Amino acid sequence: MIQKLLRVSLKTKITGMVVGLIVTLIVLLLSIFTYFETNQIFSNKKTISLQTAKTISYIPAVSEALQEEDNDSAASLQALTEKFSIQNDADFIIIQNRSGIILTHPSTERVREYQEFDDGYRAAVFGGYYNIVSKEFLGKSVMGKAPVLSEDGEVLGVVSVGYLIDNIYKEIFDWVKNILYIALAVVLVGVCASIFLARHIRNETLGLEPREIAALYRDRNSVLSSINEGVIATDESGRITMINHSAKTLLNLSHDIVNRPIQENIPEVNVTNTIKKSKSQLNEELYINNKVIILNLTPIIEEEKLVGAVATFKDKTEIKEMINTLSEVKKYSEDLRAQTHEFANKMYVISGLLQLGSYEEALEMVQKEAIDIKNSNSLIFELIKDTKVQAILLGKMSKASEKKINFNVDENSHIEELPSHIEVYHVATIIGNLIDNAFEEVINQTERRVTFSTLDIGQDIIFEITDNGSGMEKFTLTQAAKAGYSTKNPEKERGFGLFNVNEVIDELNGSIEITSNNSGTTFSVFIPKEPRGK
Amino acid sequence: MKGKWTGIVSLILLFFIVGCSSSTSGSGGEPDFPTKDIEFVAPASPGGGWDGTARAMQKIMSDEGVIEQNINVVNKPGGSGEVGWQYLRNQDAHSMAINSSLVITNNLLGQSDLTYEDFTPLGILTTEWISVAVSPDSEYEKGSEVMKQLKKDPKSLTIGLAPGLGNNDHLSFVQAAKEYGVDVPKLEFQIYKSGADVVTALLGGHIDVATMSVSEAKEQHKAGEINMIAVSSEERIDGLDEVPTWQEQGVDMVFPHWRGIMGPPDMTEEEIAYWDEKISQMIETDAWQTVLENNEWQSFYKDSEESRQYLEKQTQNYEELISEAGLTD
Repeated sequence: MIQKLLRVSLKTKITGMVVGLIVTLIVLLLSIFTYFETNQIFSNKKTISLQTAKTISYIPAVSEALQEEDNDSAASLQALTEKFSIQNDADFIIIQNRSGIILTHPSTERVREYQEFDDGYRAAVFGGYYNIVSKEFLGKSVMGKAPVLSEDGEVLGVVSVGYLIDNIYKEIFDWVKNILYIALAVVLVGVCASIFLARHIRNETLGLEPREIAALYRDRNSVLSSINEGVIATDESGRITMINHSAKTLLNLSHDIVNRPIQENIPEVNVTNTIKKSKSQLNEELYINNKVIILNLTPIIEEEKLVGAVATFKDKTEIKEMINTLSEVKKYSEDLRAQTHEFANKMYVISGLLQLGSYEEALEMVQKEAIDIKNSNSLIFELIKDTKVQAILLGKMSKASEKKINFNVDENSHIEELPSHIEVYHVATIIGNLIDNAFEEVINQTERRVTFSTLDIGQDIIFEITDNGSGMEKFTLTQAAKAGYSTKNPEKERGFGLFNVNEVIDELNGSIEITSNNSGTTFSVFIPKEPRGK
Repeated sequence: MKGKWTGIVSLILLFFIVGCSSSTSGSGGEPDFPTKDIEFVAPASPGGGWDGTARAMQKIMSDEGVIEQNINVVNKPGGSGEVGWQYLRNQDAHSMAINSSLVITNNLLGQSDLTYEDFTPLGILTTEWISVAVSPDSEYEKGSEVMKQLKKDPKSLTIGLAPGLGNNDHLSFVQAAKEYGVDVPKLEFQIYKSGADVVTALLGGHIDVATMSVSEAKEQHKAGEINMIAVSSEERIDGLDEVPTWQEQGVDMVFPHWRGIMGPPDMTEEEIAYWDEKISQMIETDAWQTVLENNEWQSFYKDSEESRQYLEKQTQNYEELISEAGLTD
């Protein structure tokens, strides 16, 4: 029920709250003021009534009149009390003589009536001065009582000055009524102000109700944290207003950088440019933290005004790794196809020789092939105990054979099974790429020779690939390991070969050495047997 | 909403408690008391009962070594004690004043804003009793006979008293009359300046009955000039064994005219304890007994706590006596 009541529009809510608050405050203050005012008025009436009664009782003419008690003096007393009544706004001033006979009264017909000294007892008997609330005369009233004393000190009569309670309450009520008018005005002002306030807030929140804003905020956060892309939003001055989790992991940002200028933390992302030109930058490649990152920068434009920018990131290295793995697999199938093709060719030759009846030659060829294969294969199988390396080398042999490259495995090579932390992907990337590069390198030579050797003696596993190509320039050496570089056909986008090799070597905590002169190039890769971090 | 309100209420309570505790914690200190001369305020001119009490205390406390400090008596006459008591209000715990039921009745009769609660009651010391006397050749020989006549016709007898309405002599007579069922407002009182004037008036036949303290009437009674017909004490008074009490005459009333002592407001417990000790020491002395005898006073000792309770009770009694005509039937 309450839930339902609270689900009202912002305007209603604010107006309700403000009006409720004002009304509560007014009621509270009014009751407190009324309480004090009531007390004040009553206390005033008491003081005034007692003061007036005393004053009258001290007037010598009053005590004289009480002693004489003739008609003249009664008339003069009546006149005197009427004068005092008007002056003090008293509802009545009544003087009784010692016997309790009323001598003055606002209504003359009651003069000479007897009123027992009940509430007047203290004054009549003991000569006391006091206030009392009683219904003795005219109705319930606040009274001040004073005895009229003779010179000796005997009581001659009693003066009662009274204010009717009804009239006092009327006075208070009038006072409250005036305050209520003011209070009403205040409530009206409050209503106007709250409507204005609500409108203002709604303008700031694009007309959304707070709960809608909250829902949007929750949605945005969950969406942003669920995506793999990094997202950073900035305001128009380049301060980061929002950054999602993926962006932090991608850019390796651990500390809280919200509200900091983006240039301070990620200077590579040129937000100011985007903001200045208010133009999107799409698919820009950046190299940050050893990662190739694809960046999209989009300005946020609201009502033709630039209010910020959003940057989204993708890790290109990740994509590349996937692509590379795919391409390795593709190469294997090509190598196998080459082997099949080579084999088919030889089969054609043999079948030709057999048809021509040159059996001797055919037999000779079969035997030679068998020995060749046996030699090279046995060499591989003998020296290389690791099946991953074996598989790669066999594949490359066929490819070399197809390309008429003399691909040899050094006789001194020796390798046991590779440690488990070196996976097939690593081996394929390193050996496969280096051998492929070497093949490409020697393709233009008349004598094409590529040698592979490996050793796992000592702490490191060493792979060495030597070609007899024309060698590499010094400049190319330093560039060689950078992403996207290739001395080979730049159009074919294969330049990630060496870069990937480098990355895999880094990952395995290994190193690469390149020695090159104009008679060939040797790539030496050293990979520690122990996984890194141990 | 509910929680909010309890929060506000408890906050207010907290302020209240803090306010209270801070006001009480202020009155700690003063390790050694007294630190200077003691002052006894007699709120009347020299010669009266209040002055006599103050001077007797001063003398005994100094002579008997009850208090080592100098003790001074100051007289502050005026307003039935009002002047002296107002003065006391602004003194520290080294000052104290003699009081009596006037500290109660002054307020009840609109003569003063002070009540006993504005002071620290330290003790009730003595009491006198109040007598009713007639002329020796009056037709009335007992208090009850006077009351019987007044009940029949309240205006038939004139009662004399001094020095003003509302004092204990007056109140005592009114209470007796009220107990007897007399229509009190109709009583005719004649006011004189002093007790001596009342006796003179009684002797001269100007009044029929006089109400005055026993000490004022005793001498003339002994001399046979007036006839004491009732006393307000519980038991007959030593040396006045022939005078019956009101109670004996079927008027259930005891009316002491007590005198006590009180200090300024907000005295510490240590200071109060000091005075309790010193006053109880003083009343034990022989000299004090002599003072009582000489003045026709009776010991009526109550310590500070008993005094406070007694004053509270007395205030109620007086209020009842003064406010209610008692003739509702």
